[in-house]
Amino acid sequence: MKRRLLDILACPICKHHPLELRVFEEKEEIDEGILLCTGCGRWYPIIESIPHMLPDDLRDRKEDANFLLKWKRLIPDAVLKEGKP
Amino acid sequence: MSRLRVDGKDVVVFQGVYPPSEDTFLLIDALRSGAAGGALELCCGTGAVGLSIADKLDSITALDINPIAVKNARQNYMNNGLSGRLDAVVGDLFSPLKKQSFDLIFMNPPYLLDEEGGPEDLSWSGGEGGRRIIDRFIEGLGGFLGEEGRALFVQSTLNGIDESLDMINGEGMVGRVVSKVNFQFEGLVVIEVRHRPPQKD
Repeated sequence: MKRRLLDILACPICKHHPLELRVFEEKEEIDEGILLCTGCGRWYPIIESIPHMLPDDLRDRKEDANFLLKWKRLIPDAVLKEGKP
Repeated sequence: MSRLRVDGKDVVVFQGVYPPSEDTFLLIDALRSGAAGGALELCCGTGAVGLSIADKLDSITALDINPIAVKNARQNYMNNGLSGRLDAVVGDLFSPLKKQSFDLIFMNPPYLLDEEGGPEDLSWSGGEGGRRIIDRFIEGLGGFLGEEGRALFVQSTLNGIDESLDMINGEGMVGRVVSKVNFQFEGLVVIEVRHRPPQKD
């Protein structure tokens, strides 16, 4: 994901913009990271350079769990404890 | 994974992603005229449609609800040396975007009629009447189409062309059929949408 994408993304649920970005791994692009919505408390993973911005019912729970586990040390406590969904 | 050549570009197709087909080529042909600054492709699948005009664009945002399709599209842009122009996002139609103006918006959505009501295959099923995606696209389009911009999408004659044109009209825009190909039981059309020009006194 390129940083310029932040200019055009909004939370798919509450439409809040801009989203907050935390980068975990970056080479030419942001390879892994997380997008945080300060409007509704949701979070969206960036996996293999692609932000996954799906509504709650279409999210892949297993992938979400793996992602949180993998980056546990770098993910803000608020996401781990109170993050939605 | 299969590999093919589409309009001068190398395209690989991941397992479970809709392969470039008649409707893909129809949309590629319809897009051939005219360049644009910023473009948006929805239901991008392998990315083959956007890739065919990526040379003529400043940037292209490509979305699909299927993470494998988005990964597939990104791979195809990388393979063709065009990933610098691409912003790829997993998302449901316009939902992860803030309101903004694109010069060009296009989509080859799943539009096949699926009256069974069973679990839908998202890569081709348009739900009952085949309008599941088309209706939501037309409803959302106005907020993203630039003043001078144009949008193009594919649908089947079985989905109801007048239904789309009426709905476009109801949203304050103008639609027209710009290309058509006939098969035995149905036709495929590309519908172009623009904002309605201001009334002259």
